[in-house]
Amino acid sequence: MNLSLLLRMGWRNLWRHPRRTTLTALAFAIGVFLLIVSLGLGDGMHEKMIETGIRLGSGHVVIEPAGARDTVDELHYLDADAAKAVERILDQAQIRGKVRGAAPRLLASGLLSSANNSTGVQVVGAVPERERGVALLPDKIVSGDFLEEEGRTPSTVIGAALAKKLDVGLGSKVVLMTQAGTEIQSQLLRVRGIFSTGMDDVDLRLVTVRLEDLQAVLHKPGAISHFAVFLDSSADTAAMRDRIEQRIDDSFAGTPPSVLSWQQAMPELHQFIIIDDAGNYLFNGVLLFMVALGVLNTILMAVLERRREFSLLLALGMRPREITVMVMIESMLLTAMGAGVGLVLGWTAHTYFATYGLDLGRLMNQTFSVAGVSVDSVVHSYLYPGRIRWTLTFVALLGFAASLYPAFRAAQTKPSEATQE
Amino acid sequence: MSEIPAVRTEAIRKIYQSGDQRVAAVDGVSLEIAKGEFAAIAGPSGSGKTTLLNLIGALDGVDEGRVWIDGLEITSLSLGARADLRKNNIGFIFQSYNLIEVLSAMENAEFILLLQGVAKAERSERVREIFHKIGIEGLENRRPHQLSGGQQQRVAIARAIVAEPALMLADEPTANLDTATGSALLDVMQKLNRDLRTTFIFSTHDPRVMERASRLIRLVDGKVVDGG
Repeated sequence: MNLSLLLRMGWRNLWRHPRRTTLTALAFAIGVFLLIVSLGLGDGMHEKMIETGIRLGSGHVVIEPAGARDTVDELHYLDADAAKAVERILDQAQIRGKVRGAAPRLLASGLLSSANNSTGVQVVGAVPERERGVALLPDKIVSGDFLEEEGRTPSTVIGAALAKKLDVGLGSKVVLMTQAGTEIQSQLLRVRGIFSTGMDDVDLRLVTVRLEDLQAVLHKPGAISHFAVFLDSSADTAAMRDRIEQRIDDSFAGTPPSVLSWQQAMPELHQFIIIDDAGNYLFNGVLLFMVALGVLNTILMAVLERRREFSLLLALGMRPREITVMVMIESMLLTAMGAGVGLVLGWTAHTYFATYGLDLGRLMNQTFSVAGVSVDSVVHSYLYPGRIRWTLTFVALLGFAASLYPAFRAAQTKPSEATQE
Repeated sequence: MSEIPAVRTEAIRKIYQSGDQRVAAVDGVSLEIAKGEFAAIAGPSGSGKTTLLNLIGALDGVDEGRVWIDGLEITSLSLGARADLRKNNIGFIFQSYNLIEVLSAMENAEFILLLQGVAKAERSERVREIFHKIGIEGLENRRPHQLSGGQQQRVAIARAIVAEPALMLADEPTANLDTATGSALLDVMQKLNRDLRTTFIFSTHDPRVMERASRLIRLVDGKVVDGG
């Protein structure tokens, strides 16, 4: 089989009808362009959601007491010794190299009261130096600061919506009441910072204090509810989770703490992304399938118009399978042209949106929540590794599939038709 | 020992279905054509000339009977084997010039050599030599639509002959040509027949072809009535 001859003839055959070929290739290009843009914006939105969820939540990997999620009403703690052991593991070189930050936290529920109002809150005791640069709240401060040490009264940072509800501002005093064992403890706090995330749940219910202040209120010196571990790259999540778990299992006698990935710690977010991705694939898959039908139609028309020529080629000694390959080459070349143009256009658009973002603000609120995570209306394009490869593979398969029937029809031509007038 | 004939058929029959009717386009034809003959199959329209040529050239299969090409029975060959036979042993010249539109004159002429896997340098040399012999030098890079009717037919002849097949089948080769061009082409084919001892079989109702043939086979209603 002379492939270079078939390639040459296939390419020239495409240009017998330049307008038809150009229009078909253009349709394919538009399909590929839309696929890349929608994948990029979709991935960008997901990546932003994951980043927000991770930074607002418990990091890429969370280390918490075993069974902490089995009972919702009961709070579980790592004692001081366990917390120190975890710190030592996180400090090991092979782990430290991939970890951007590890924030120890203590969680509690309580009631926050001002002179004017009171409301139930979730309290997080945190180390401000270890939250900065990794967690979300320090970046969302709209007034004041994030737990800077000042004065004898312990500091607190509350959400703007909570401040409004309690009718307090910077410098105001509030009282936190919480359960410490069997006793009810109260602690006077001064509002040092106010944040705004755009998420009502967070802005109304989340209160942050210094870790040692909350440990003191709860009478649990050194206790930690969980370590929020933030990685340099979310792609390292699974590997780091496994590595940390291995080290913890090796270090702890008895029941070791649980180590969860963000996917395990935030299953609603994870599921939303999976479902949204699937919907995106389905929509674009259908779109490209319809475009592939256009390719099939173009090639089939070309085949039916050239029956006499195929019979001539067979009469001259070309084998039916060579005719098949030639027609398939035509289809694949047409697909490659369209895909190539679509890839260039799509990559250009992706690069633009990656840099400047796409503002969907006119279609929606400035921020909205999905699966409990805030989504900014400005979406920056981001393509997960392998997306382009997957796209091109899918497109190549479509082009190949579109070539099968026309190639089959062409090979069915009878060589005796060459002598018909 | 007598030489193996170039073509031998034994009671070959080809039947076509037309509605409820079965029509025998070729009906029990037995003949032998010797190597080097310049034979013409003549007959009115619908006599089965083209069908007979198709059966001899392995373009179509017989419904009954057997066909031999240079001693090889081709009746039961597979489609692929028939394609190889046509590629390596038989040259075709069709009534309509049947050049490949997307290939140049040179590429059309060397097409069979390409299928045979002949090296580029040898292909080029052989085609240029044939182009010179049949008087179409300088047309190598033209596409078929840039050639006159006579030039296209010469390119088709070049394509048929450059592979030096033992057997040439020509189906009404002069039908679409004017007198002068037709005669010139017959001169070329006769010269090739003399020089290379290539067997030529024409299907024709052109008197110019018939009078040049060394043997005339007359076909009526699918049967040989004379010259068989």
